[in-house]
Amino acid sequence: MTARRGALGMRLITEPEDVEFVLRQTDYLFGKTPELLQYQGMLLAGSVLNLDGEDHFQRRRIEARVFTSDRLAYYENEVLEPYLDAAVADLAREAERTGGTPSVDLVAVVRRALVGVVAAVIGLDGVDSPEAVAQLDAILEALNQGVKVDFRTDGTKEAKMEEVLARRAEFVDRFFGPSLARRQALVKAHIADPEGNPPPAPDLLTVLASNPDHVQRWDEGLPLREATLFAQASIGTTTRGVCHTVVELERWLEQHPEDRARLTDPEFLGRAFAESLRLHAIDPALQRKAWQDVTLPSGEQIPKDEILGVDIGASGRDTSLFGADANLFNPHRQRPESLDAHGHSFGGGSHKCTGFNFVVGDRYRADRQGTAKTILLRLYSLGIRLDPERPPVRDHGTVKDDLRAVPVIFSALRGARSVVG
Amino acid sequence: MRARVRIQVDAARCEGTGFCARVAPHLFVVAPAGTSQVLVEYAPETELEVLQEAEELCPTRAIRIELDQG
Repeated sequence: MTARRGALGMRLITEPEDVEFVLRQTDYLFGKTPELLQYQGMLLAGSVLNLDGEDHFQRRRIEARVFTSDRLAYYENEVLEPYLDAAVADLAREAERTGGTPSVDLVAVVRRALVGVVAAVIGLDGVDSPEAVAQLDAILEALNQGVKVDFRTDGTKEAKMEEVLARRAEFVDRFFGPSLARRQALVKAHIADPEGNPPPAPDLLTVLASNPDHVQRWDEGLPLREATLFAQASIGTTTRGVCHTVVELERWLEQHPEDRARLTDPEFLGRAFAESLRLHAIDPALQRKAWQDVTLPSGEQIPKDEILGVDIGASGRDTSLFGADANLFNPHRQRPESLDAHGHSFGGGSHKCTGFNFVVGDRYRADRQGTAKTILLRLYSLGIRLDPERPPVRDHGTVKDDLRAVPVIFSALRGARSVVG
Repeated sequence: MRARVRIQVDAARCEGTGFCARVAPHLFVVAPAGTSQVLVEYAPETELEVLQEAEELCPTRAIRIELDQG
């Protein structure tokens, strides 16, 4: 059998059972390959994304405090909702000003709504004015682009990275540096006098400051790189998933107008979001390196040290898993419970995305429906639809399946009220 | 009757990270099929803290614990 080859000449793993096996055996038979992504390494070296084995487990254990069930409920209900209110208020003001239904870029709207969540998850102070929110939003967009620079094909890698590093310096000066210093002081004060100084909230910077023995095994730049990862992860999946969902649903509703009545149904929107991520995989392929000679479930032999590309795009569209119409969007798709409806967009095994429940919700808690459904419900309550005059713009300068802009209009903005206002 | 903790693993949701077995090897094991299994259905209340950590570490929320006050 001739192995399929992907970018960089890597063997592509496409059989669903092999994909599942490699992802589940990461940390055991396979490791991560951070050395392959030069620019990403500048931003994320040593972050939990790129660790293996015991280091990876210990980092996950430390950072689990940031993502407890109660913390997720806090981010979703007490941080995201007010930011959504503010985003709606901005849109409503624009509608009043123009006397119509303004066309806005959904990518920017969703990202702006998530700025507060990023600040709360990482532990960034000073995000307390429209000007600060706008500045952090611009920084986060740059960092998000920076993490994906290695995938660009339009010859802009170096120029983009220069801009990203300038934005990162701005991030350190304005937000990250002062916030880390304050948390280090809070942790120190709590240790010195636990009764007089209550423990600070377990955001990322606080849990890192609380575990110096672990963090000091890397260089002093590690907290910044970990914060960069959390910033990108907190915004990236939800933003691209929500945007793809709105685009896919628009086409679906043209053919299935009876489903318009379901746009207030969180379960329906959750299914639509899952379908969108399944079809628009977060990465073309996830790289893994064999730590020893391995025989995959399909019988394919992988020699020690070979680097593989796990083709999660192919596995997400596999007809044996998702049916004969696997290439099509269908929010009513039936699937076995054991199959993640999102495909492998959140990875799998020990490297399954820490924020999976953050995005998709918690079936055991009625107050946690996840960031994606929360945002989609709000958007559809405002009558969102694609701008008929301006189609979505795909980012053709990357191998990633990314949307650069999604112009939308809202038919029910007038009368929308905000608690932030 | 003393309080105890009921432990359940949803095999359909478990992705075999093995985090639970690393946090509490006396309560969980990763089966050859690649999913976690509980070694006891009920654990004493003294295990509550470690079980809460196992539950929160699981990225797919496949672990569910419930305090049974007896």
